[in-house]
Amino acid sequence: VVRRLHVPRRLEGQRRAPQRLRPKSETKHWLESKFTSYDGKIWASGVSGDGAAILYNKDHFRKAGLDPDNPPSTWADLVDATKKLKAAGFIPFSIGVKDGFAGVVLMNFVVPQQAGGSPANLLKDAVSGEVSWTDPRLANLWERLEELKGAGAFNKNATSLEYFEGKELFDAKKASMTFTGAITFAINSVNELGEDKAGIMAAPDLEDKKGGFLPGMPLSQVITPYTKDKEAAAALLTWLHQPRAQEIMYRLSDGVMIPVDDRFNFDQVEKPWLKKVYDQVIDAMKRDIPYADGIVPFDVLGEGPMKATTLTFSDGLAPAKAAQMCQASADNWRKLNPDLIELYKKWAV
Amino acid sequence: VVRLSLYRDNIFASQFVGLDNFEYLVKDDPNFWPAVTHNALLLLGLPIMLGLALVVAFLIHDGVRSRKLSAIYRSLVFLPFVLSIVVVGRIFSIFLRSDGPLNSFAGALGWGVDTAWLGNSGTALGSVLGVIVWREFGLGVILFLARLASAPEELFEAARVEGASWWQTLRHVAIPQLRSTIAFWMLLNVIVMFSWVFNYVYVLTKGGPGSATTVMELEIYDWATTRDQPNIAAAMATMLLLLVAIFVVGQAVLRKRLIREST
Repeated sequence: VVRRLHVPRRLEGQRRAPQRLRPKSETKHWLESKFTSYDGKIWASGVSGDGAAILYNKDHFRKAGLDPDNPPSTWADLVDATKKLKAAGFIPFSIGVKDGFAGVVLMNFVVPQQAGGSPANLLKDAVSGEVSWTDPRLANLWERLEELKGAGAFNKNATSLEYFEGKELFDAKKASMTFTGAITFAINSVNELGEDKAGIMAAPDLEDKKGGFLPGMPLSQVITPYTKDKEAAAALLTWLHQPRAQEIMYRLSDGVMIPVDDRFNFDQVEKPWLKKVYDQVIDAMKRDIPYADGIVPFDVLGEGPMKATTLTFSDGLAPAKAAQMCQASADNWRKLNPDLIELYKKWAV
Repeated sequence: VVRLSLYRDNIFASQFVGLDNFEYLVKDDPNFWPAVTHNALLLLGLPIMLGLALVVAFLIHDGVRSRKLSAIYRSLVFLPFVLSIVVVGRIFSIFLRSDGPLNSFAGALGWGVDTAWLGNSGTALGSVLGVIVWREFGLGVILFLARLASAPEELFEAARVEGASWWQTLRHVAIPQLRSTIAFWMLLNVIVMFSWVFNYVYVLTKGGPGSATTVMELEIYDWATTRDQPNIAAAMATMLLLLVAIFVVGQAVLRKRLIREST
């Protein structure tokens, strides 16, 4: 299953190596192990956490008459804030859709609520064909994107920019908010701009469907079949989980690398905003709120949501057509990977 | 690669599937026909590129008497060909943005344009072709100039004495002299438009928006890497090889006939 999710092919014969090389007395401390498990066995080690976030510019919020310490917590508030920011002369959201990845990022802030908390099973069912991508819980993403577009939320040059270039507009203070697909970037932006200038907001409530989370997953490392000294590699990964190593990573990265071991003393996190982010990411891991690209094979995302996002902006693709495009992409993936479907369903997350 | 195209890997083994991978591409892959069509459309750029290279080469050959000036013009025309495609691609990605220098320049002239040339399905492929022509035509100019330099000067003198216009000299004196060079360069460019456009497309558009600029090479890359289906990639590569082979053989036959006719 994992091979089509970017892990090298031909793991056969070596597939138990990571499990065998790491004792349970160690792995029981790993906060992220459910994300790296398959069929009851741990396949990888996530030495730090990651997630998705919405960044916002506090100065822009102040100038638009919005409360910088209480960013929008509902979708209605978010759309309202968008309109106020636009009226104040700002670009409400920066986005780059040339590569389409922005749509996958946005998915993280809509699908979990629609799925009733954890998006994992809904996304897995959509990939394996038990739920259609035209199901309102998934198709709603395209309606929300259309609504934001209609409110004039995005920069006009969105189709000329790739995802990262869109995010850079926020860092250059040219936009008031942006969706980030990696919380590491979001933390870095707040570090760079200053906590009085930039903040991180969680996913909004969608009407009566609860938000308030930051999707979270580990950044995982695997021992490949080609690793010459597997014992040494396992020892390194095990060491990276030790409290001292986690502390070094946390300090040297200025908080960007989120510790994911319960032996790490989280009380040493001095910045309250960062502590809150850590709590939210770890909470998301416990509640199974991973980001979409951690669940959906990249092949499905690339031909479905990513292309649909680009076409939504470049060709005015209608929400219903975007949902159908995602469905066609998943259909194609299943056709080409019949051997993976059952294994995929058994995936632990 | 051909052998690989006849198999399909599953998680445990590789299985012989005959022509199934080819059938999948032709019947089910939504990107296959767009990719083939775009490669074919890029071929339409060849006459433009040829015409441009011929005119510029003859202008330099016929109109510039100073050696120094001629060297400067040749260097300027050849410069884009020397530049890395990645660098050219990045520069044009910025140049062709909706808020980029091209639209700003058009705005200054009074044409209010905010088209994202590479981000619009209607203009993206044409823009990619424009970048390819801009970078590749310089080689043609240099090849044509080299051939013209070795052509008997008396032919051009005679044309002038007979009162031939610039266009007539190009049409009836220069082009016949360049026939074999043109044939070689066109063959090279057929191969470019089928098999060497990956860098341009990858850096400029990655095949988008949607599949508006995808080409066979990009699809081969996607199947082999991000989509992890090396067998499908191999089937596509085999088809690309066949297609290029047909063009190369066809061009060779045509060239032989032209040479036979001219002698």
